[in-house]
Amino acid sequence: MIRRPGRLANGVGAPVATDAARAHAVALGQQAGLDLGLARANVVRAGGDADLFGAALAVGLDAWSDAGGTGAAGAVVELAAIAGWRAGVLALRGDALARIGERRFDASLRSGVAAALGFETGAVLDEFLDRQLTDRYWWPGRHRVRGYVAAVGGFAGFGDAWIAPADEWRALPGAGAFALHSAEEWWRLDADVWGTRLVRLPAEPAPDGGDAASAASDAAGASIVLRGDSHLAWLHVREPA
Amino acid sequence: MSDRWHKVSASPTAPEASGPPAPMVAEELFREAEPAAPPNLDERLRQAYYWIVNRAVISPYYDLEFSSGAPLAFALGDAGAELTLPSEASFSSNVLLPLLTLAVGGKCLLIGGPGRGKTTVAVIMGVLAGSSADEVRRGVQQGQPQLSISDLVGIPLPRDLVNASRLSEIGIAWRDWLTRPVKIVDEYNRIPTKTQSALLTMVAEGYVESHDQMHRTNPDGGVESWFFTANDDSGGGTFPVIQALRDRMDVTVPAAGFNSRFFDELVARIEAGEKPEEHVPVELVFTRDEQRRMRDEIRAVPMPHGVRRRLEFFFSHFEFVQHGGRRFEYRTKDTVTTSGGRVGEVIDANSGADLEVDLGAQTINGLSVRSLQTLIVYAKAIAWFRGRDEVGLEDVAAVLPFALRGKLLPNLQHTRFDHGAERELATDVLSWLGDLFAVSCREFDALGLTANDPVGQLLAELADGLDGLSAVDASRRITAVETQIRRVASAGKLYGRDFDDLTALKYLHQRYTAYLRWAERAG
Repeated sequence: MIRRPGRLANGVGAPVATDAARAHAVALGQQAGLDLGLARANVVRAGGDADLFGAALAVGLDAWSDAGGTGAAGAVVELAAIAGWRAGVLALRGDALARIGERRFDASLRSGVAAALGFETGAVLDEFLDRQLTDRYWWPGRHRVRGYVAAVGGFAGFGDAWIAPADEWRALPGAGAFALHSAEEWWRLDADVWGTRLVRLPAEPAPDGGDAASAASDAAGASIVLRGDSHLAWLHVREPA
Repeated sequence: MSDRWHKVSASPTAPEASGPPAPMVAEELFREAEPAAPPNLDERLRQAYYWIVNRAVISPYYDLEFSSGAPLAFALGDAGAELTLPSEASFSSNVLLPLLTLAVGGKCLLIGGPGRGKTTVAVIMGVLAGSSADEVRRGVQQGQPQLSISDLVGIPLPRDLVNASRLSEIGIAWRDWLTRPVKIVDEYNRIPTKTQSALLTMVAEGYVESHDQMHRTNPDGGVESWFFTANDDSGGGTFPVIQALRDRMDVTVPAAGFNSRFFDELVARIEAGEKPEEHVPVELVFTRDEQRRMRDEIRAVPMPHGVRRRLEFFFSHFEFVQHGGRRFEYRTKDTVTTSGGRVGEVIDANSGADLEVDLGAQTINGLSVRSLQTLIVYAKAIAWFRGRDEVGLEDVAAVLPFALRGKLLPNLQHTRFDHGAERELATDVLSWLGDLFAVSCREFDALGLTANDPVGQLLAELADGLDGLSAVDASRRITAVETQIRRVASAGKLYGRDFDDLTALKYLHQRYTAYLRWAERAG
């Protein structure tokens, strides 16, 4: 099988919504005067996955309703932040974490957030939030895939980014930022647990990118695994023994 | 029914590298994105390009390659074939060159066997310029052996022919196609020679004449482009193409063959009975004003000194031929050709240079000023199309073979075309021209001309003006000129690049000696 770029957290454990839950979400959106179709389009524009966004928002709103949540307008926006982040929009990471932090003890919303992220219980959510403070790549199933978080790059012939396997990488200033070298070009990778973004760099980044700011990404123990026989580069975090 | 044709590539088609993603908040997901400013004209042209190659003309060819660093290359088979995977956006010449022709208001000759989409590409250009597909198709001039000048331009009004007492009283019913922004002449090598001459006046001068009446082909002074097709580029066809008309073709582009892997698309089109030119998205059509702006923007793209210098060096190889004449200035291929001689034989007779390394020995002619102007315009156009601020060497290298095809002619008697894998270059003229430029650039580097260009420095000194130059300084410069001439003379061998330098040095010598005479008289 030919492997393509993707996030491992989007395998088993990703939120899956029923048709009824999706229809319910649309109804709640209309009730709140919010256009979920527009939100899906904006998620895609920001680099996220529209289907995953729709599923995460639907299961989140479903769980929130079941837990007796009231005030659809607020809930849809709150859970859209979480669902958008879960769908791979890296730009929503800060907003989503801030909202979860502020409303951590609101029971109905807490159920919705856990469901949107694909967690079965609130306890997992608590651990997730605690771990995110120091390890932006953590999710509960990571140990089962031996610490691998995401595969990036991919062969240009299949519509992906690279014409040759990457052969060098280095950490860049800023959490979750790396530079990768493939076919005489440097690329910037931004990543966290749910999303990745790969863009071409105009020039080689400074080789000594390991300043204090980049320590944040090092703190998680993240590294890039390269293989000469694959166009994929793997983001990996060493799991404690 | 969904319109499978109406899919325009999202902007930007040539994304710029950026930093980390800008943070956003959830409320932004429910807001309409800021209405995007209308894309720049270069972006619109890129969208048109991608629409054509993805939707209209089935063309999975990427022969105009751009790479930063060396592209990934695969040797294939045992006969020297190599496939390269470029690292930057690369393009199909048979679509991009016609599109650039539309943008600059040029003349494009599309060549290739029947049924390769040449006319379709030309018709799409007409639609992009604002005409309907029907109008463009009706305006296509079909070359055929009986095509008369009247067929081409129109007829005098019969009433006036009877009543007029002088030619100026005869009104002409001009053909509509003459004033269309895109003019298409199919199979121009089947047009009789006399009619070709009338066509030449239109192409070269922008007007047509009949019964003492003149009609401008571009009355509003906007952008006008021409597309010609031919099945043959080597003198075949029902009538040979007159050289002056052939020389007016700014670029010559071979049509690509059909890739069998795209057969399904062909079947789908037949089943739907669709023609791509009838489905050009309206947002890709350029108004007359936009066409003018596009041409002006292209002309304004700067060509930096480093690129100009390498082009100068490239051009310098080809005019000179040793033994072409007696006087130094007449030792040119043009002297040989205009007196009925054979340039190949004259080159062969030259024992004063290493013909293996003399690039000038590979051609039987030099370059016309018109070819150089064309090359400059198209290099600017492709740089602009790629979103570059200035013309790069890679832009020149990409368009040079298409701009010089049919103009810089190979000397097939040269040993280069006579042995091993190099024989391929005798038929693959585009690769030969590309290689000629690459070798010239390597030679430029080997001679260290980037850092050391004494003739260029002497010319720059003169360009600064002679005002206030003392007689002593003028004498010193004359000595410097003579020193440079002696330096070339001492090398023993003489090449085209020396010919242009020596001619320029003689020019400098004339200017300074004339100045010195004047200064001495003025006391």
